[in-house]
Amino acid sequence: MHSKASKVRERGMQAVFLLCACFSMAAVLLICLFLFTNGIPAMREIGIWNFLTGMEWRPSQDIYGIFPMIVGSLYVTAGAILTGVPVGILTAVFLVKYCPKKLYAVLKPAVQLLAGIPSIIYGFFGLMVLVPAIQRLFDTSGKGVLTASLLLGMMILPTVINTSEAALRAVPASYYEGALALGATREQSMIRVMLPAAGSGILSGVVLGIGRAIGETMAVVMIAGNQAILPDSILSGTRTLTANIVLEMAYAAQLHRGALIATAVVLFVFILLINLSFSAIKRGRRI
Amino acid sequence: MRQKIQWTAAALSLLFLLGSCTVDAGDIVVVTREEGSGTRAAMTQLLDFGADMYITPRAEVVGSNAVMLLSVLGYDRAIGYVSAGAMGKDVKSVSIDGVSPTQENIRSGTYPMKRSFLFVTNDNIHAVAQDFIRFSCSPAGAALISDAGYVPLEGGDAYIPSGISGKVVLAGSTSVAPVVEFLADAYTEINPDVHIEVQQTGSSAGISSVLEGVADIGMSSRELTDTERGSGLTDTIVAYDGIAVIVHETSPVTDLSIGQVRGIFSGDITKWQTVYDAQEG
Repeated sequence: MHSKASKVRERGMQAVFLLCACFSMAAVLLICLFLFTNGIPAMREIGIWNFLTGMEWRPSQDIYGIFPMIVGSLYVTAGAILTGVPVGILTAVFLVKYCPKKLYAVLKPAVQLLAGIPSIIYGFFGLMVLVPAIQRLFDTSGKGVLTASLLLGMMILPTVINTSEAALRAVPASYYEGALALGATREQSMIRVMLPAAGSGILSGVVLGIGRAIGETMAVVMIAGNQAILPDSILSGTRTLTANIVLEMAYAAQLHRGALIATAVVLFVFILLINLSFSAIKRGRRI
Repeated sequence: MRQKIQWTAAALSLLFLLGSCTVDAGDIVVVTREEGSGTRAAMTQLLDFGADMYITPRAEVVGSNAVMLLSVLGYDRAIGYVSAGAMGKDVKSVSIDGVSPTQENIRSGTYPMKRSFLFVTNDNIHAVAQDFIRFSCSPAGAALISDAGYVPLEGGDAYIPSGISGKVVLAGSTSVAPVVEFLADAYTEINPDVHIEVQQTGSSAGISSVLEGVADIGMSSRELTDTERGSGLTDTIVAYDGIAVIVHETSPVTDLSIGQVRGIFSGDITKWQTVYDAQEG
C-alpha cells in the first residue's frame, strides 16, 4: 500500500520534470516559429538578396538593406574579441598561478560581479565615460566602432575569464611540473605548456564571448552612433543588427516591422552558428 | 634589436592607422531621431523633404529625446532637434530665419517649424473619452498645456463637469504623453470616478491601436496619412509644439536659415565653415 503511493508520487514527479523540460523546448520552438513565419515572408517580399546585400536602409521609402548592419555587428564583435580576449586570458593565468590568496578573495567576486551588471548600466558608463574620452583623444563624436568594441570587450571579460580559469585549472598539475622539471621557467611553462593544453576550453569561452557580444543590445545602441552605413574607419559610427531592431521596433508597422523581424532572423542564424561551433569545440575537447 | 624595430614599426603603423581615420575637425555631426519617430517625421515634413529626400545616413541615430540632449550637449560639433516643449532651459537652440522657438513665436506662427499634437479617434468613441477631449480643449486645459511648455489652442468652450464615470485609454506619441498625463491628473481630480490610462507607444502604434479598438484615443505628434484618414479616423488638434534645432552651448551659431537646416540634415552641408561663411556674407 505504502509502496504503491510512493510509486504514484514518483510517477507524478517524473511528469512534472518532463513538463518543465518540455516548457523550455516549447519556448525555443515557438520563438523559431514566430521568427521564421514573420521574417521569411518579409524577406521574400523585399527579395532575400536585396535584403542581405542591400547597402541602404530607408524604411520610409521601403528600402531595406541590412548589409551595413551585418558588417557593423561583425566589426564590433571582432573588436570586442581583440580587446576582451587577451585581457581575459591573461587575467585567468594570473588568477590560476600568480594571484595571492587574499587578492583572489577580492578579484574573483569582482569578476563575477562584472557579469551581473545589467547592460544598460554598461551603456550609461560608456556614454558618460568612454564616449567623452574617445571624443577628446581622437577629436570625433566619440561614438563608433572603437567605443563599442572597448565596451563590449569589457562586457565579455567575465565569460572569458571564468571559462579560461576553469580550463586552466583542469590541466593536470603534472604538465606544469613536468615543464618545470625540464628546465622551463614558470612563465614558459605557463604560456607554452598550460595555455595550449587548455586551448579548446579557452576557445569555447571565446566563442561564448562572441555570442554575448553579437547579441548585446542596450549598451551598444547608446554608444555606437547607429548610422546605417558601412563604417570606413574604427572611429566612424556603426549600427549593429540588434541596434537596428531595438531602435525602430516600437514604431514600425507593416513591411518595416517585417524587415525588422527578418533582421532578427539573420541575428538568430548567427547565434545558431556560434552555438554550433561551441558544441563542436566541446565535442573535440581533450581535457 | 630586431624585436625592437618590429615593435616600433607596429606602434608607428598603429598611430598612423588611428591618425588617418580621424574625422576632419570642421565636420558637422548631425544627430537625428530613429525612423518612425513622430519628432523625426515632423522634422522632415517641416523641412519639406520630398519623397526622394532623406536625412543623411551619416547622421547619428538616437532612440529618445533624452539621449538626443545628451549627445548634443556632449559634443561641440553636434546639431540635433527636439520638441520645443521638452527642451529644458540649459539647452541652446538656434533661431530659424531670425525667429527663436518661444511659445509666443510658435503660437503666432512666425517660427516656421511648428507641428500639431493630435487626438485621433474613430467613429464609435464613447462619452467619457469625448468628455476628456472637451476638457483638453477648454480654457482650463489650455492653461495646463501652456504651463507644461506647449502652445494651446485659443478660444475653446468652458468645461463643465458632468459627474461622468468610466475609463479612458490613451496610447501613442511619447512627445504628447507628458502633456496628456498633466491633463489627466487635473481631469481625474474634477472627475474622481474616471480612470485614465496613458500608454507611451509612439504615434504610429497609437493610431493603429485606435483602429484595432484597443485604445479610445490615439495621441499623435504627426499628421494622419491618407490611408489612416481613409480608414475612418478623425483628428482633433489639442496643442502646438515647435521643433527646436539645438547645438552645443559653445557653438558660435545662433541663427540658421530654413534652407541651411535643410542642407545640414540632408547632408548637402557637411562643414561648419560653410555655415560660418554664409553668416558673415
